Amino acid sequence: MATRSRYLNTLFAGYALIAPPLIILVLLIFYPAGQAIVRTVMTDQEVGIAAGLTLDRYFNFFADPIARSNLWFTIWVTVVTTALLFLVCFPLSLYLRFSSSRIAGIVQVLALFPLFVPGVILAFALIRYLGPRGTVDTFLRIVFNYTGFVTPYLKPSGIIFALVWDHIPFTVLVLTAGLRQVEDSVIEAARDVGASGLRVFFQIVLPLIQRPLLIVFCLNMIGIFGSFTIPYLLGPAAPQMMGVYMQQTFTDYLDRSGAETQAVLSFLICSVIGALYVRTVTRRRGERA
Amino acid sequence: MAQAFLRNPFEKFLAYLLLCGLGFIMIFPFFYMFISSVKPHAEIVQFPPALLPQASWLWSNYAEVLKIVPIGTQLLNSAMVTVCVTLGWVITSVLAGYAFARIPFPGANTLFSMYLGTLMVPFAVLLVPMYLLMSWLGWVDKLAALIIPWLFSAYGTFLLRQAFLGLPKELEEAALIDGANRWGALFRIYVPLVYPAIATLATISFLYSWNSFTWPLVVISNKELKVVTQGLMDLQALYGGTRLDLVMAGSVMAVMPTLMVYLAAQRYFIEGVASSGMGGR
Repeated sequence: MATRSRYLNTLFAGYALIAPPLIILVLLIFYPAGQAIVRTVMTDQEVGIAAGLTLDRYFNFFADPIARSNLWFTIWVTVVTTALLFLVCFPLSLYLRFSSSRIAGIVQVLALFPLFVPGVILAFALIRYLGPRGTVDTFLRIVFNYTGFVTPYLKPSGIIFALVWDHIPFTVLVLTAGLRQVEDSVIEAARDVGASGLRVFFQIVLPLIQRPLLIVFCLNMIGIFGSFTIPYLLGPAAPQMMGVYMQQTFTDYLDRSGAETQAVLSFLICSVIGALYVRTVTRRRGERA
Repeated sequence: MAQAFLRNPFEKFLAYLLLCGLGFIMIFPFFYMFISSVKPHAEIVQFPPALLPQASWLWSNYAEVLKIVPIGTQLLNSAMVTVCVTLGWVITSVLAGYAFARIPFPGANTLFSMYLGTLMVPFAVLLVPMYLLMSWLGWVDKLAALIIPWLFSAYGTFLLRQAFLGLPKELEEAALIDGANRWGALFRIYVPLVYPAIATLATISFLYSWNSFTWPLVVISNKELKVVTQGLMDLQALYGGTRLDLVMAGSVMAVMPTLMVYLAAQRYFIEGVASSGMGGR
């Protein structure tokens, strides 16, 4: 009897502790998201006619060339930005992991700096930096007498540059944390038998940090796909990224069902990447247990 | 150990060159932002530009910003929202993180996967359904809309769950044997031991909330209730984007709190993320 009472107490404590966040999760995220999904597959209800199932909203989305180009543009920006992030952040993380010099401390401070800068301010700063007659343009004109600088402001390259800048801290943090799990002795042994730096990286380091790589890949892809502030302030008027397109469809064109359809499609694309992330994290928990 | 990768002095030179370039890219836009905030408008648009203000440092740009936009009120709104959201994140994450780490109850794994699943939903996807819900609740144009939906964080739960898992179970068992209940064990024994993780979470939450822009843009239109990121957009729009001196002064004011948090807390970050298990542990 005492054992059963202790078991019930444990059950109660477990559910009571997770209840507050769970209530917020269900009421403010799952419920409205679920409703939105249902609405996108229902016919408009008219007086006296029961609602039925339809995929018309999705067909309309893919029939619209603007919507299609916005979707492809978002996927393209997401893929290019994620690839560039790895290209920039891997050398940085390797340096931070394998160096204990004072310069490494400064690099760490610099690499984390974007984490503390609001997106709006980042956009304003980059407009001054990369915009027409901005710092880079002026520098090239004065030092090299070069007048052919093409500003990335209001171009896809502007969004990509800013998104890479914005996502550097998270990528460097997770990669550095992953690299810290690689034992020094493993790398030293490989170097001692004559393996080159590149070979050590590709054949030893990379296989040992597959999981943090996958986590950073998934979370960056999802974050970039759904980004809003930077594409809104620095991106071109067309094509637009899905976040901006959704906001505009909803608040400027007052097309609620159109915006919901775009949201559900974005969710479906991200959920494929998200499933990979959840699988990676939960599989590691299973292995540990 | 850096020698493991960089044995050649030329490689080292290249690495340092690369790092200097990175430093320039990371910091210079903000240095220039600050300098622009204390220049007269005429000096900002002159060509070639001077690196530093030529006549005098025009601190009155800041006073002018305070006069034309209620940025003081907006800073207060941002502060209030940020404090409430940070408290919410910490409290809900401590409770849920402890439950998932230490209490075996049916459905824990499924619920934890659900929590993690929320990380995969881009915010833009929730924008419309959440706005409709806020509208139904009558929270549009109220600070509650900026606070209540954001009192929970899947990442925070994950971070603290990992921190609690790193502590020995025996601590709790000893406390329970000595007559403490589960709440006592949590708040008197476990919580003090995970202060570094809580500090990391509070910092992340502060930044997330202070920097938020998309949601306030959609849900708040009353000038007196706007947060500071919206105030900056208003400032930019007020003169058609031509008064960069004022926009930059407003930006400096808005970025100061995060800069202070950055200077105080950046050293906790590597530790915090490493302890979250994202690094592969």
